[in-house]
Amino acid sequence: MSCDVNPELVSRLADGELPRDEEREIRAHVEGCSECRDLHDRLVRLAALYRAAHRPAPVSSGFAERTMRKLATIRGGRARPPRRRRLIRLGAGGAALAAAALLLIVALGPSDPVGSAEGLVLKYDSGWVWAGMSASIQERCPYAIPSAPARIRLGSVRVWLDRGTIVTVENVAPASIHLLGGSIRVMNPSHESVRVRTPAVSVVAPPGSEFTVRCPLPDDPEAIQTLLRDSSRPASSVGALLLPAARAAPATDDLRPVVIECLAGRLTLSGGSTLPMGQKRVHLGAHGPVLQAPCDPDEIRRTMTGVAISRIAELDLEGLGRAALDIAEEALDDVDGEVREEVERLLVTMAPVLTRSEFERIETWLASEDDLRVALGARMAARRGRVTDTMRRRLHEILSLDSEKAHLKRAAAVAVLASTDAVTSHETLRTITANTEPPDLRLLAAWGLLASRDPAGRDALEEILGTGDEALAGAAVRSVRLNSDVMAAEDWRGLLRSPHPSVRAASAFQLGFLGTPDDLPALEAMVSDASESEDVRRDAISAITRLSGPGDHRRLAALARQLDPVVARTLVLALASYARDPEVVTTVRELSRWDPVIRASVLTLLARHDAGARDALVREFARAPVDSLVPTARALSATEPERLRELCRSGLEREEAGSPRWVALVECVAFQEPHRAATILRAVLAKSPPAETRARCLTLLASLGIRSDLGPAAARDLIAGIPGSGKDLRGLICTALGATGSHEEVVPALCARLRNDPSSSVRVAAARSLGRRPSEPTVTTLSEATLDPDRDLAVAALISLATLGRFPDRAQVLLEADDATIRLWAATARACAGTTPDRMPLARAFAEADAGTLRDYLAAIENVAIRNEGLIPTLRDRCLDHPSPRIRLHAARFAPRDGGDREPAIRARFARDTHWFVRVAGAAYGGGSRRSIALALENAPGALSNVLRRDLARHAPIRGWYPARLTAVREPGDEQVDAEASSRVIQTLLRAVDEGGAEIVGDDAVRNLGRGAGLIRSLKLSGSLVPSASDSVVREFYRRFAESLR
Amino acid sequence: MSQPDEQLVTGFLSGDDRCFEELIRRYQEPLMRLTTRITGDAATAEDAVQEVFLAAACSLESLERPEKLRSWLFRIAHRKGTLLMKRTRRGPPTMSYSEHPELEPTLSAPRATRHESPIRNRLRRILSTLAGQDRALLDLRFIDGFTCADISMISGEKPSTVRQRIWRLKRDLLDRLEGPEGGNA
Repeated sequence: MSCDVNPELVSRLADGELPRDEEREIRAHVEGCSECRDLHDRLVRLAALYRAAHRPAPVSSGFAERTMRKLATIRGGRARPPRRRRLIRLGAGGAALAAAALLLIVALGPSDPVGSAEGLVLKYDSGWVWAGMSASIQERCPYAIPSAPARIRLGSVRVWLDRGTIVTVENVAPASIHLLGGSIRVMNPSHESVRVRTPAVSVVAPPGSEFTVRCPLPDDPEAIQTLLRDSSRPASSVGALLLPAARAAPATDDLRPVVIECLAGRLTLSGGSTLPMGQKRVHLGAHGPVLQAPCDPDEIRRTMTGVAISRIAELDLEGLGRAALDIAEEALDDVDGEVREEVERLLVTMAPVLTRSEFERIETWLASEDDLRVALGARMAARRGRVTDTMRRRLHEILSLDSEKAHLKRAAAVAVLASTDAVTSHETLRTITANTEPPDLRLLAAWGLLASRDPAGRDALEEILGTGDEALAGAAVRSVRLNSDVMAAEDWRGLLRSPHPSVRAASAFQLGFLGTPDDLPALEAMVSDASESEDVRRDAISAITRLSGPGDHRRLAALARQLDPVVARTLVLALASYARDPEVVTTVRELSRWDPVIRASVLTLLARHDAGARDALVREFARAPVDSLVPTARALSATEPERLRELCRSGLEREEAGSPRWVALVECVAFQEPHRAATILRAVLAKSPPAETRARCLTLLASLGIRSDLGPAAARDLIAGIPGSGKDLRGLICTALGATGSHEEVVPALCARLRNDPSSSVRVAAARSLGRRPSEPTVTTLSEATLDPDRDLAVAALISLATLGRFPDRAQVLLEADDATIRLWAATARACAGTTPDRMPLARAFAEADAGTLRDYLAAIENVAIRNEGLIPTLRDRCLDHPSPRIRLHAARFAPRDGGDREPAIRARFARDTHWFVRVAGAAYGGGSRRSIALALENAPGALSNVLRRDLARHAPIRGWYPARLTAVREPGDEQVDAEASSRVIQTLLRAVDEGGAEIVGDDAVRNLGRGAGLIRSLKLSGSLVPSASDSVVREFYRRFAESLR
Repeated sequence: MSQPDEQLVTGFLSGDDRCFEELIRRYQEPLMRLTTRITGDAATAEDAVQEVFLAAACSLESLERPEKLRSWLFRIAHRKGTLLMKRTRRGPPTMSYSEHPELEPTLSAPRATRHESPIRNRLRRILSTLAGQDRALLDLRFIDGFTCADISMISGEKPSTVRQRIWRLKRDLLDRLEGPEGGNA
């Protein structure tokens, strides 16, 4: 515009908005200036056009009358309208609350009949209505599906209806309810299904109990066509605002809408606008229109409490926990038992994501006199896995209460102590296992001890099993099943005859690990017994497959033929490993041919030795389900690499890039060529694919990146993929960046994620990966993170700093932190960073870290021991006096072997330990002779724990014979090395060779024979332990073994 | 001849409820339009308008200048609508309606669109892409005839800001309306 006059003045002139003097001046200019005159005229025309295009807003009929009636009510000073009948009819069981808000799927039905002139089908318009009501279609408009009844199920009501349809709602008479517009699925005459947005749909209930559905579906065919054409719209969620904002969350204004969104179930964490909230941010997705339902807030609050808490729990957002606790606290007071039960369940679920300050309220619950709050607080603490010192004191107070009157609270307290793996809880738990306590408390305590590998747990369980209470015995057995090495095989054999099926099943299962081939007949009899329960038979088969050796396979094949196919599946799969025996292969093929569940797995197992199976796999590859592609490729990658490559190539050409099948094929490629797979994925990502495809490709790329370094280009793509990805994928990418890419590129990205990501889990993943990326920015960022209010992030940062051998000055304050785990890891990082032993903080941290978990404790010890040898004596002394036998066992690893002055004293200390496995470990690690180890083993009362097996197997003085004995000799007990049992194992192996030959028994047998050879050699070398090992057996073994190898 | 607002206010305050009912009928449509623009949803807007009238009835006595009733009602409605929109943390109505102008709730007769001038339909399409607050501003100016000073009082924005916004909107509308077909419109 060449004119100097501000065009806005012309606009104001056109609107008549200029002061008189100015108007005169500008009008004079406009009349003389063609440009301004033109603008003025256009603006005047625009205003006229705007008015002409205006259409009045629709106002529902009777609005004025309704408002006047309401006004009369208000002015009449009438109190709240009479309380309506409860809307909620909760069903039995905990799932009832799932029906808290029913989703009424309002479907705009197809023409009647489908395919008529309009040929229009509209589906899935949705909105929220109350629980407990049922709906049926009373009247149909021309578009409705003929006589379609409302389909009602728990949690949702689905009806098919259309414009003008009347829905009768029973059992409820609310004033009005509004449904929402949102996504609907539209099917055009060509049966192409497209998703479009609809406007709001209102349901207004007139007095009585009818809902009239008004759906402003366009009448105009052109409008409908426009609607149909618009198929590119992304699906969007719908929902309704059911909880009045004021009641939603007594939190900040910023927080309240988020909670409301949660309540409505409409919050998405990707895309959309960003809501700042404290240090974190909530991403709100785009959503449809919202309507507020005028109804009784109390009713709604009750209805929505469970839903709200579950949503909040899913979100893992700081601050939301407080809102959830507020809602829940009210719910605990005033709702009926079923709702409370559900609320409790949800609160326990969300316990791990509560912030520290939020969890402090749980401590106040524990301190209250309310049994329910104490029990709930205890369950939440157990789920969270952390017990503060205050809570611990309170728990001990509770345990000192009267057993009968405070049973519920005491049980909850024991559950916490048993679940948190706190090292100082063991003494308390051992006390609880005494006979004077109720059996259920003893069981809980025993379970906690078993989980910590404390032998006292086993003794307690044996007593419980002897009480004759089958239900309790079943629970005990299930507990033991998780800790298989605390009971001897003989105990389990006795339980095989238990009248309780779960006990029999558990016993059979455990014998698979602890039994010997001698147990096979009993187990096979169990399997053959048709009256036995299916679960027991399956567990017995599982044990058989573990115990059986090469010599058993033909007998088991015969057994499999007699069994019900469903029961026989496990056995058939196990037999498929004997692919060298034609007879077994025939049986396996026959039994699996028509069983789709195991057919692919069987072929995969047979493929190694069976060309026919490989051919079948190749034939079926193209039409195999997506889930089977990767296992099939794994089976083919070793034996048919070229054919697999060709299959993947042709498959990738055929499939749409980014589809689930395409991604699975890329994963198949990765078996042979991970970098090529990465290149394929990156090529797709470079084309800006749709969000779903992008997420799939990034997920696989990140998974490959975790396995191996895919190089800087892949790292760049992964970094670029972080924005716009969900928190799970972002976390996965951060984990991958710990292994893939160069420090220079990856470190800034990980640091940025650690600082800025809204998700705690992603920040923690970034902190962990930075532990593998030594650099100054890494240390700076991790140092900052150590002071983060997010406790998990602070711990992860300290662990990474310990791994890097760095300890920043700013983290010094953490040595005095309230949280024992943070203190522990701060001291550990400092110890790892120190060049000179700095014993005091470390010793104090270890001494005070009893509130931490064994896992943290032991990991910290490992870190310090690796990084700072100078602190090993400190660690050993601290661990040696620890009340937990497991930690004393760990101390044995640091037993001195330098011939120094303290060596005899420490060895003597181990020798007089109250626990046999500490004595054994002390002798073994402390450089004791084999005889001293044997003596210690002789006094061992039960089976060796897994921990001890693993630890001892690594130890140099006993390496060579111990692992062989543990793997080849399945005789339990370990009271002494049983030469007779060893000979029996060897005899079994030799028999297998006799029966099948090495060609048939295959590699497994050769491996077992190799173990046997090692065993024999070891037994001979440690002759003092097994004087009865027969030379003739050894000679015979070597002869057969040599023959089998020819 | 309809009664002026001042008389209706006086009548209502004297105890004649019919006067207030007349006020409701007079202003329900423009207030409904304003709140619909702001909240983006007709049903929410209807609730809001009802609350506006109830609030007005309760505090009409405090209205010092009854001749300003109209802008007073609009100001309450604007605040109520804005509050509702913030509470629900939902976006402006463009999030839903701009994608389907033909479905805009204010369009009472979709069938009629076929017979109207192309330029008018085009303007409607362009308008449907605007944010709700912008539509509200244009409505207040062009449909309800408020001056910038009035709109400033209603919306709580500075008069200069209102003027600037209106100018920018008009300029944008002109550009798009006179620009090539199939542009942003």
